[in-house]
Amino acid sequence: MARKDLSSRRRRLPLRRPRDEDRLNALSDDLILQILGRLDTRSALGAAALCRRLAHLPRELPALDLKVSDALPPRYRRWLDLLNEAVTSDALRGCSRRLRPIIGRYERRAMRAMVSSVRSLRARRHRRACSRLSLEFFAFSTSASINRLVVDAVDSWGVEDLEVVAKSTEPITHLRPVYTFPRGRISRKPGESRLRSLKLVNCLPPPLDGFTALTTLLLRDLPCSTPAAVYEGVVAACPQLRVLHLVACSFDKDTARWLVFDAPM
Amino acid sequence: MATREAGKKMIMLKSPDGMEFEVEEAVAMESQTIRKMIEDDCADTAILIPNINSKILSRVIEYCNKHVPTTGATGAAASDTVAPAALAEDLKIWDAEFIKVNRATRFNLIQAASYLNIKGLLDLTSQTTIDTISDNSLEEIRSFLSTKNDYLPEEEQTIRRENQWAFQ
Repeated sequence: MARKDLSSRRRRLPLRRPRDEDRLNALSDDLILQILGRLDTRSALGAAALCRRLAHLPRELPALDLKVSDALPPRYRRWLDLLNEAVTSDALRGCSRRLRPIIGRYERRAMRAMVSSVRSLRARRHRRACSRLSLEFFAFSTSASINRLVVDAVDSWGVEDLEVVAKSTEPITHLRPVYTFPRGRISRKPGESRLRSLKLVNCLPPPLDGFTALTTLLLRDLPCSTPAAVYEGVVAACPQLRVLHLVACSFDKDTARWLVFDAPM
Repeated sequence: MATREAGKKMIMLKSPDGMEFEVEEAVAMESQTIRKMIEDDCADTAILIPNINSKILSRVIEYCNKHVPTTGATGAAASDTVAPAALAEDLKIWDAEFIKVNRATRFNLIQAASYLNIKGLLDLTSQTTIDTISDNSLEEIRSFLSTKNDYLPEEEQTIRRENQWAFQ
């Protein structure tokens, strides 16, 4: 008798809130996108795993924000702080050799996770519209997916704002290698791109000839090995440029003493 | 509807459960959907608002009442004495208090704001939803949308593997 009671109660339980069941079904696709489109990219990718109806969500996001630091645990930060301390203090110098492999493992694991998401974003071949792409990855990354994502975004998605941050893995006191786009380009047909604003951090700027819509350019953290011609070249290539920011940028003083910009506007 | 005070036209809104709300035309026109109806002269008698029960509709009217631009005699006097920045700040505090409701009500408000096309209310309700999600991760989305996982186990595994970045 007691057992029967128990089982019937168990069966009733899921029916307690019947009206809640179809809340998602009550929303139109537009409205879902209007609400969940406000999520940060990482949460939106996660939300796609909740149910079929949300599976397409990552493809519809109006802006993509892919940051490798989002995939790094707080423990990584602590290791990094320790390494920064180790390279500046004599007493801890010996530690830095042992810390680097640990930190490297965290970084590679985070990059692998991000590249796999990037791959799945690119794999679904259908037209998408995306107005803003913000990417942050480690400068050592040589993954072709990331570069293809940039080219896809500029050429086919109609991205207007592009931000590429190549994070350096070296401690602050060391010389940091700069990231170069493979084949030095971010677009196959720059004339058709809608790119208006380009921000590059620790990235050597690609040739910008043909980007006729580009009006804002920000370059940051370029090392002193950068030839002056790189800066002068990008500015000369963009006749529409209205805003130029050079932040913490150096140039090779052996080849040129001055940076000369011609600003006809 | 009949004009009650000088220059203030009143509109009657009816909810499907039979309640009637008399609101100023300017307040009702905070909703772009109702504005179109009024402009197209479809609002001679009471306007039936389908799918929105009286409880939610009264909250929506409360919102519109607060957010209607303060013009006219009393409104002008108010904006003379209070700086616009202070007014906006006041409105923000009011909004934050207004949206302290349970998930089901918030969900209904989103639907109502979407149907009635009230941008401010839609922004407020969806942004509040997103803010609660970033605190409580995906489980909050699941319970807010009260959605069930309908993936096959292997499908879910694939999609989680592809987006492992989101689950770290």
